[in-house]
Amino acid sequence: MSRWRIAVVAALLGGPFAVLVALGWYFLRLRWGIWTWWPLAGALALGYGLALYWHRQRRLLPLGEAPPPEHWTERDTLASQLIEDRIARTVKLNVNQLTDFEFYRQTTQDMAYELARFYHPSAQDPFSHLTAPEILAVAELVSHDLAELVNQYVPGGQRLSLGEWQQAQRWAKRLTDGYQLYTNVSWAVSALINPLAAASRYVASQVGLTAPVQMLQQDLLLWFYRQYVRQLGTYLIELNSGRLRVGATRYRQLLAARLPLPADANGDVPNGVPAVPQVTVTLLGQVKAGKSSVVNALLGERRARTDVLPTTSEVNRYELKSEGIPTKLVLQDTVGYGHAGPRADQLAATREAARQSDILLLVLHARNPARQADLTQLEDLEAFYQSRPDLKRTPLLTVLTHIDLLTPAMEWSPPYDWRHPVRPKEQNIQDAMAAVQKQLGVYAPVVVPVCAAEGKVFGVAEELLPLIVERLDEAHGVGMLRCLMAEADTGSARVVLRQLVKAAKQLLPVALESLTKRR
Amino acid sequence: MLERVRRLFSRSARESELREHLERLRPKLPVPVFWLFGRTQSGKTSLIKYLTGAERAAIGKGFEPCTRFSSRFQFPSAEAPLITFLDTRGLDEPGYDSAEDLAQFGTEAHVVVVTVKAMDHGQENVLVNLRALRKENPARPVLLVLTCLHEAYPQQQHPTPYPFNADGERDAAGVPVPEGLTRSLTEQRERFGGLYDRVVAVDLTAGEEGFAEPEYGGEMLRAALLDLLPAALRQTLLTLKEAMSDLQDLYEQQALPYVVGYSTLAATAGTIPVPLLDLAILSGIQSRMVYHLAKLYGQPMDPKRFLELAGTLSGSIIFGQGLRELIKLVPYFGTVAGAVTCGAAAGATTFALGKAACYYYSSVHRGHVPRPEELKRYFNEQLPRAAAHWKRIASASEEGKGNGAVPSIAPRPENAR
Repeated sequence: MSRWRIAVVAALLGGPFAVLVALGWYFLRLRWGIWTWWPLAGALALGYGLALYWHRQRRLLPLGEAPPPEHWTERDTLASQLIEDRIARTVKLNVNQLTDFEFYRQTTQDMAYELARFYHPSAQDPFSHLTAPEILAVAELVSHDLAELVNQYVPGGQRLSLGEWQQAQRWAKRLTDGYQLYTNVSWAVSALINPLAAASRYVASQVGLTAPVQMLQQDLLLWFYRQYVRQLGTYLIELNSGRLRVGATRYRQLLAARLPLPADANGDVPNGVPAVPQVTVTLLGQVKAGKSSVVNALLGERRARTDVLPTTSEVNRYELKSEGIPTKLVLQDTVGYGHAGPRADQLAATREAARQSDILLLVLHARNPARQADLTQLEDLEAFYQSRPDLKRTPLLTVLTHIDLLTPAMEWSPPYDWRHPVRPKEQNIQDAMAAVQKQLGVYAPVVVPVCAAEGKVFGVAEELLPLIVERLDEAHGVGMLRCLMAEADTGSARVVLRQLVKAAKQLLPVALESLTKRR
Repeated sequence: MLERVRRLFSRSARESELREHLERLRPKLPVPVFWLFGRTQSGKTSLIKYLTGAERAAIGKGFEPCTRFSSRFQFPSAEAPLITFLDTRGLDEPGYDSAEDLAQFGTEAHVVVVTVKAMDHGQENVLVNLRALRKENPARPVLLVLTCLHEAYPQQQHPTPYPFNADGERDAAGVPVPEGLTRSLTEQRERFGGLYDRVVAVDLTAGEEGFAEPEYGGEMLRAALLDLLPAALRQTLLTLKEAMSDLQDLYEQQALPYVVGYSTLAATAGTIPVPLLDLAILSGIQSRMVYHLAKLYGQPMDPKRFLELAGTLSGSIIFGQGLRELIKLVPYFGTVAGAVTCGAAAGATTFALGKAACYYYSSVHRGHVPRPEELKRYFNEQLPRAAAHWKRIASASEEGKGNGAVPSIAPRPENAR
């Protein structure tokens, strides 16, 4: 549409309003005099004032106060604080800075250095350990995310070219400089380029408000800049934690596979990744504590073998899919410790299973309070996590079994309300829980008393399962992180080999050729 | 006489001298020492409660730490003990080293009692440390006590009558036992194979657990312990049991172990072949006993009360004892014969005096002070029975055997009144 056509349309659309304004002015002057305009002017002034006031009150565009990713470790959370601090500092930036490409470059450099320093405080050059593919993965991921954000929040953003953006800038500038005659046409044009900014500016200019326009513009830019800082920071954390060694594509795949799928997801999960995210629950405990019985109670059927003598001699896995649980649970039943029976490699398997799980259930016998062996296991696990700050601590639930044997032993008539003990057994359950918390201290923040004996099951579906479900998000994070790190570690060797083979394939013909040529 | 009693209460040099004598006496007492070995809550306290009749709370309070990982419980009191229990409570604690306990208890403990819950198979620490213990002294008997049988059949009563034999196995003729329990017991026996001399299966529970038989297998346990104890030490356990059976009065139930304890102390003091020395010690021991009993009965023990009691009875005691001291003066023959008779007499008189004191205090408790002749008659009733008993013990320990029938010194209900 050419300019004169737009002018015609605008005149036709705006003409009647102009006539109405003129008629109204004339009529009002005739009837009541000119002072009737004052309330209208007052309303405009109030609108202006409120616009200024509310603008100072809050940001017009949400920054998206997203919680940190579930798989972040304590160290990562500390690092993210540096980013949040930086975001908090960006309030006093002007439009020129925010549209300057150099400014973004400088920010990127500063943040990269700041975070690398945080992760490698003693390294001479904090960047030295980073590889080119990792850095490129950050660029790819940040760009990808920002593109999505712009699509989501900036109306028409997907059609906004750089030239158009600059043009809109110029137009806005002219406008504020006093090109009032040009208004109608210019607004119609800019509305096509950037509806949001144009619409707001149009409204503002019609009532002669230029300051809020500038504020809106700055708001949008500031929002974009902050999103940029946050996304960049997030991926720099991933980079420095070594989680991007798997590459941007695989990283996104694993993230998608591990996180619970949102309700409106279209389900296009990349190939080779299980469609249903799974969570591994490992049961750990002394021999005969009742681990297999708890597995059976959770499954609702007798699948793990139980006996009066120690039975479980290897790590067994059982799948639990239930309607109430949004994910698949893999129950790992391990070899109990604390007696001379199991071989060293079986106990090592138990320890490994504990490290490789997303949720840990420490199973304790309510009537066997000798729990040093449990404490030793927990301390061993703690030492493992201390040595691996790049991994996240597995959420732990303490399951107190055999509560039916607590005094009075002859009585078993559930349900028992140990939270408000009245009956002696309820009181004894509460005491036994307190004893566990005293013995294991910080390692046992949550104790769940259950009876897992066949036919007498109590506390498993009512108490234990909901507590497991509550921890699923955290568990997803733990699992996601472990997978990433394991793949990153094994992957690097494989990739080097693959590159060597590839190089050899290309070099060999050349070498052969040169050899044959020499002859 | 009055002078002497006053001196006893003056806590003067006489007191410290007495204490010194008692210190020297105590190692000679025929007190069985049981070394309890097992995980926490594997039934050690229940076992002590069964053997002594003491209250659970009193047992808990009575334990005094003696090594880093162990504590000692002397029943009924540290001054005149009848049985001593050593409890290795730190067995499952990190850094437990049996060497420390061995150095301390190595020569002292007569029997090692290993408590193992029948259904608890996490016994690695127990096994490792028991092996060290056994290696150090293979001759010391070890009794394996398999406890908490009911965990194999929760919310069910015990199979009755008690179906296990002296080897902890089910008798062929006995009632059927849950299969899981039988297998678990077999497993435990095999696990501890070669590390024990006897094994018993018991279930000693508190009343509130709701079992019809709270002392399931208790008799088997006592028999096994008597079997394993050196002959000279069996008597205290037997005496205690005899003395305690049929006791209805709660006060007397509490008091009697003290009476037996002090009598044993007196009897041992009496066997020291030094003439006229033990007479002084004996009166010291006896006044301490009376003082201790007064405390148990909640009676203020002022000199007046003591004189009231002692005045009535002491004439006969001191006179008899004095005569016997003369026998000790005859060299060679006298030393042995005198020691035996003197020890027995000292034990018997102390026992009878203790019984009379109990009689006196319980009467006072009921609001009437017994007349001297009443008290004297009671004392004279008790003395011959006690004398026969202590004489028997004395000769038994002298010969190093004597597990035969022990004359009953248990008071009949009418006597206890």
